Amino acid sequence: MAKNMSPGLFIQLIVNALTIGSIYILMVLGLDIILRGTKILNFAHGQLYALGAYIMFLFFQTLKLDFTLSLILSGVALALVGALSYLGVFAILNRRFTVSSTFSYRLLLSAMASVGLMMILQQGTLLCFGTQELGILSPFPQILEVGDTRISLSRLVIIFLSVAICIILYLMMYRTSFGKLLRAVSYDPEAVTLQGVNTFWIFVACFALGSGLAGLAGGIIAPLFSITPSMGQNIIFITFLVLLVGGIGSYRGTIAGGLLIGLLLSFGFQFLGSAAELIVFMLVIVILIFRPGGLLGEAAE
Amino acid sequence: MLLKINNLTVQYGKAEVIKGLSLEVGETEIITIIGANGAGKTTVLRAISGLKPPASGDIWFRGSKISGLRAHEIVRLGISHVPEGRRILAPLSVAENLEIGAYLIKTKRERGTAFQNIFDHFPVLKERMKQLAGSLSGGEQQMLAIARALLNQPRLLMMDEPSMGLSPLVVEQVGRIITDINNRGISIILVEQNARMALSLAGRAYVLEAGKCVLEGEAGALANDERVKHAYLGG
Repeated sequence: MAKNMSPGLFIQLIVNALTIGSIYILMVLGLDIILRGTKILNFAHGQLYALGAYIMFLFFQTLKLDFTLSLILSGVALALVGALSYLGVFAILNRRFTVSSTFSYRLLLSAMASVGLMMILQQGTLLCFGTQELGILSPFPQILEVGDTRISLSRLVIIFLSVAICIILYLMMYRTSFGKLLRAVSYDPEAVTLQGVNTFWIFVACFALGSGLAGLAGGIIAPLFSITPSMGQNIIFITFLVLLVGGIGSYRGTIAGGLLIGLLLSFGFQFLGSAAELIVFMLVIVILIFRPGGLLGEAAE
Repeated sequence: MLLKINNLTVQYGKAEVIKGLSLEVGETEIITIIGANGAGKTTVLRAISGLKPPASGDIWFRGSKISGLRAHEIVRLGISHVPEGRRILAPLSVAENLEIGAYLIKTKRERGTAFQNIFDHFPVLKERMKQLAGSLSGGEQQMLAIARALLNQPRLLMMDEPSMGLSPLVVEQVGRIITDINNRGISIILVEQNARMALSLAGRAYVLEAGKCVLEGEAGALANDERVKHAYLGG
């Protein structure tokens, strides 16, 4: 297959891989913060991403706000949606659990509740924005040309913004007392309660932060892809896939997994067409057979 | 009385784990609760610290009722709980564990003083500040757990099995730390399977069997009681 691949095409495919890979990474970081912090496997995560894209459309395209400001607002709006979702769905569900509810029972029930939340968000989005595809005119339409290589600036901006968000997130998790509390609660909420921390609000914050990241991912990608009501469903499975491949609870694993799946899909679509997804899913099964905890996950030995 | 428990009942589902327990802790006193595995010792501590709300009965601390309050509120009133198995935050550094321990200390200056105090008593923690808490030895982890609890500036410290999994030499060291903390005017509830150690440290003791207090009294007297000797001291 490499015979007819020019260096220009190769570089383009790498850039494409980095673009989608960095979006996957943002999505998985959010999903992972929610999963480890609140023990909820959030199926609505893809829908939060879609809503982020719609809100980006609203602020940037309709209200003509500044690009960066619109993006920040998308993140904040989705963090708010996340916090309300936690308070309105999962916090109430949590009160129904008793000491005899096993961990897997809680995980299953909250996952089912998140499927319900996904449907509510999806229908809500449809009601507000309609069924037609929307598009945002990229504020960075320039194409960079070096020799026979053509790269759209838009994609480079997406990669840059994703990296910036990852760095900010890392600094927040490891340098601020808020981040330390999030990590501590993810490990042992009861031990943290015993230090006088009202962990309930940390759970709310985890859900808000994770949802905000999904909103940012949706907002960042909005100028590149068309915005459709089903965009959430398309990404949620890949997000789960990256989480499993990279391993739960490992930043390095998430980054490795996101880039790997990004590369496979980018090159796969070019040379195999729609069979690419099939190949990727099969490859993931093989990886999980040999490394059930993911490439670098907590459960990996 | 610093702490007073009246007729406490705790249930897990339909099972009654504590059945009508009454207990008192005086100012600057060490009491111990001994009993076999599953007697309900840990549950008593969890009920006091608010991790497990009681089914009935009430708990009073310094004259106000604390049963029904949530765990994070009870800590603020001056009861610290070192839970069973230490429960240190293994993936966080020792420094981060202590920072979370100092959550209730709001000003930087007070925090500095509190940390200095901790380092005076546990110099080994100062050397280990940057290390992950999970990489500490069992004894060091226990010291971290105790240090973290002391940062809440408690009037009453509850310790669940502090000797668990430690070598005899370290158990002795933990015993000295407990006496030392008590000498600073902090009351202690010690829950132990190692009844010999517990009875040597405590002033008074309660013997728990299947959720009920079957025997209570002065620790020295209980240590010589035939039933206690037979059941808990291997004699």
